[in-house]
Amino acid sequence: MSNNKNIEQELNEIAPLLNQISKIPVQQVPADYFKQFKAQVSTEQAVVKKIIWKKWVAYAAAAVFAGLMIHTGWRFNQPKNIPFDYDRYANVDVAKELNNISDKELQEYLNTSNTLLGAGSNILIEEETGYYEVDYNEKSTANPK
Amino acid sequence: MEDQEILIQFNQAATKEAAFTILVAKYRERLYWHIRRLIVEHDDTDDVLQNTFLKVWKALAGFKEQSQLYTWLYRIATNESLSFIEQKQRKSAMSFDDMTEVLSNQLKADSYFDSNRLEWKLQIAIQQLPEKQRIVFGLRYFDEMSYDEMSEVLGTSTGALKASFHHAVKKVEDFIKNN
Repeated sequence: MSNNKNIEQELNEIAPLLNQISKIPVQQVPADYFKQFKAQVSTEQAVVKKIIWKKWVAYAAAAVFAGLMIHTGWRFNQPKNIPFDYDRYANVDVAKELNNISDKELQEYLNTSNTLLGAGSNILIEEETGYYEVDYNEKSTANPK
Repeated sequence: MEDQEILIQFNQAATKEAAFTILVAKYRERLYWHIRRLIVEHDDTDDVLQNTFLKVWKALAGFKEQSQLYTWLYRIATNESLSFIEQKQRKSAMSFDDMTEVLSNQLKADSYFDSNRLEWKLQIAIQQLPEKQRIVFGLRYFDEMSYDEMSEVLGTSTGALKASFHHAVKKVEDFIKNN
């Protein structure tokens, strides 16, 4: 590694003055700096962890913000709730309204209900003493005319 | 401990940290002065030296021994120093002349500074050199490297390094004689 003699010879040829100067450093260094110097490789891992943690927080914050934006957008795009008009239906005369409906319409409604439940299906009505079985098909067979 | 032995021990998990401690103890002072000649300030030098050893710690397992460990360490220290100087120049938007003046003033601010001593004149003279010549001068004059070793550090031909060193030496001598 040392090429001291070669360098001295080289300097004598081109710049002899430099061979007269001491190479001992003249700048100040804190006391015991070299004795106490330790390469902080372990703290580097801590720094890396810290950076990863910071990144994780940033991603989490971004995810929360995006979630809020999506939720808010979804809420605003929902159809507005129309309040139920209780007053309008509270005073309805049910008997009168039923009289206005023709038997044909009622029959059609009952047929539709049957279709939805399935042909020949029965509905059980619970009462204190037991069950009444209502067979919608029975009506048509009991009163064929 | 020889560099080869340090490398062998570093590559074994059980002795890795101990080998690195030996490496740091062996090279910290030499690398410190190499960096300080370029950066001048102690605190900045300390930061760059720490970064250098961090890079070494990370990359040493992959060191392929195509060059000597010693020149490889100098290469990392040199690159770290140059990156630091570049960042500093960019942040402060300083020209080469401004930078030279700043570094010279930092040297003169040292409490032991003595303008009559040749050693201090030499330090000021080195700061007048262009960056590349400053590195070449330091590696040859202070670290006493052969041109082949310098070539490993800087990736430049030995012929170009000889020419660069000769130019640098002449400039330094002229500066000392005239100041």
